[in-house]
Amino acid sequence: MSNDAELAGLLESILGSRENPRRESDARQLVEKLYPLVIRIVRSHLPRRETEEDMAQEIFMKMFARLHQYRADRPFEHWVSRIAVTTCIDHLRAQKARPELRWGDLSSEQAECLDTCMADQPATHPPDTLAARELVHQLLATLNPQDRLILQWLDLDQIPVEEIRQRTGWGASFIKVRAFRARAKLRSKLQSLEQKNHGKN
Amino acid sequence: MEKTDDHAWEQLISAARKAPRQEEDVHPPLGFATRVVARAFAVQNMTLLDALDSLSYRVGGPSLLFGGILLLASTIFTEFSISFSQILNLSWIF
Repeated sequence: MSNDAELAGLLESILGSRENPRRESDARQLVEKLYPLVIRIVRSHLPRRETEEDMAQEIFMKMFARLHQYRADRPFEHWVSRIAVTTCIDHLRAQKARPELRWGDLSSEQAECLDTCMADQPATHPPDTLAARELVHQLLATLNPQDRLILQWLDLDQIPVEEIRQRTGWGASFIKVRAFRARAKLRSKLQSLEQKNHGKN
Repeated sequence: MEKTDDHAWEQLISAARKAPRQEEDVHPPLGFATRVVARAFAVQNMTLLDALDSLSYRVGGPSLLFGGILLLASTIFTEFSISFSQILNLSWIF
């Protein structure tokens, strides 16, 4: 049985009669099937002070509460991922204050990596990939939630615009414009980081 | 002194993409699905009970009022008809 057909069967059972003895076990099966999708979204956009299990639980609770609103004209997984994205963004927005990145906060590997990436001459050795990844996450965390999500998916995870559109429900041009502006913000952050560092030295 | 910052971001992000990813555990914690489903279904049942509750108030209130009025009317009518017949009876005696 295909994944879509299996999900459709589970949904039919959950939305059907409350007397159905398999309803609860089918609901549990649905949670287990969708957990990897939800937890990946939660992990990439986990707000500070929130545990990933609490966030995942909140997303599934919303999913069950709105299940009767689901229309079969789009894949169920896309519908669930939109709930997950919206929930994460709402929590990130509620935090309001976003961390500011300072040169002094960087580890020596991250500082070296940034120097390598911004240097004029070709690098003698490639930048430390793990430090680069940490640094990218730190930089993304300084952006607003929507920009962070779009750049992470588009630039870091290289997810096509069409798939991001399906996952979030945002328009393709909105995604592209936000990505463009978010890169501009990061450029200026990188520039000011480097300038402050040179100012110190 | 520096390459364009666009290029710096490109370099940084391409290095980040090459970082080895840890094999992440995407299995739900033990009992997670059971807990979530129990809570979700409890909320659904509560909502249904709440709806029935408010419906009973909505329907029960007016019907209680209507019943009271009916009882009062029937009492008045009975009392009135008795006293009226009594008056009639008395007038017949005199």
